[in-house]
Amino acid sequence: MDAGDFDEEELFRAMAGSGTRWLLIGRRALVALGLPVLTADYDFWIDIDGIESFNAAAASCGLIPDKTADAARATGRYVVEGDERVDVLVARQVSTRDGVVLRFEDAWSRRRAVPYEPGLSLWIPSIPDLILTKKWSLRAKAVQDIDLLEALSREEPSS
Amino acid sequence: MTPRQKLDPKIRERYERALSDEEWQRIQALPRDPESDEEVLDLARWFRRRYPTAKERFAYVRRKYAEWTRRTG
Repeated sequence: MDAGDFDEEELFRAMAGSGTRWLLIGRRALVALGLPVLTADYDFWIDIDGIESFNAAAASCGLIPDKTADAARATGRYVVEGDERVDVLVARQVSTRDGVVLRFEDAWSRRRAVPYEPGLSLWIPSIPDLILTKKWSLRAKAVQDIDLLEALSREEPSS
Repeated sequence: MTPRQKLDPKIRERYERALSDEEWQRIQALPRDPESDEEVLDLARWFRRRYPTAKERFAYVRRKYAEWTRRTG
């Protein structure tokens, strides 16, 4: 069994050209920042008003949403899938268990670019915001990721 | 689709379980270990130097994930 015809670069190029605001989150964001952790997942947090544009970009790569845009807005998350499965968060804001709210707009304003290849960059939340995303569900698996990110934040001039 | 690693159910349960508030507070109260942090930073510096772009980093992780799933079936 393999990954089929999914082309990761094609997806990132399509998203860059979609006009939608999006952030790569989850463990893949840690990898992008320079932490070699294992993951097979793609997780994005997108502008709730950009669902249709994001879906069009995903569809160009053979990834189809599992909900209508309205249903996705109602639940705050959905999946696009085909030869790969991509989790998409669309909530305008999410809170950690201890009540710290992270708004998409704020995460977007503090985002950083990580070069995917020359001419194409990925948008990643700042390290403090990425830590907050890891605190949303506070599962045991997030603890190591939070620890790694907090270590990484020590070399940042202003995280 | 990238084949996902099938974890033993008991391991998956421990990995996926939600922490209690008390557990999380205990973890947060632990002091950071500067030596451990420096090891993480050394690892990150090597990874970024060896694989300068996200594309290369994702390819590395894909290879390692495939090796892991092949080894543990």
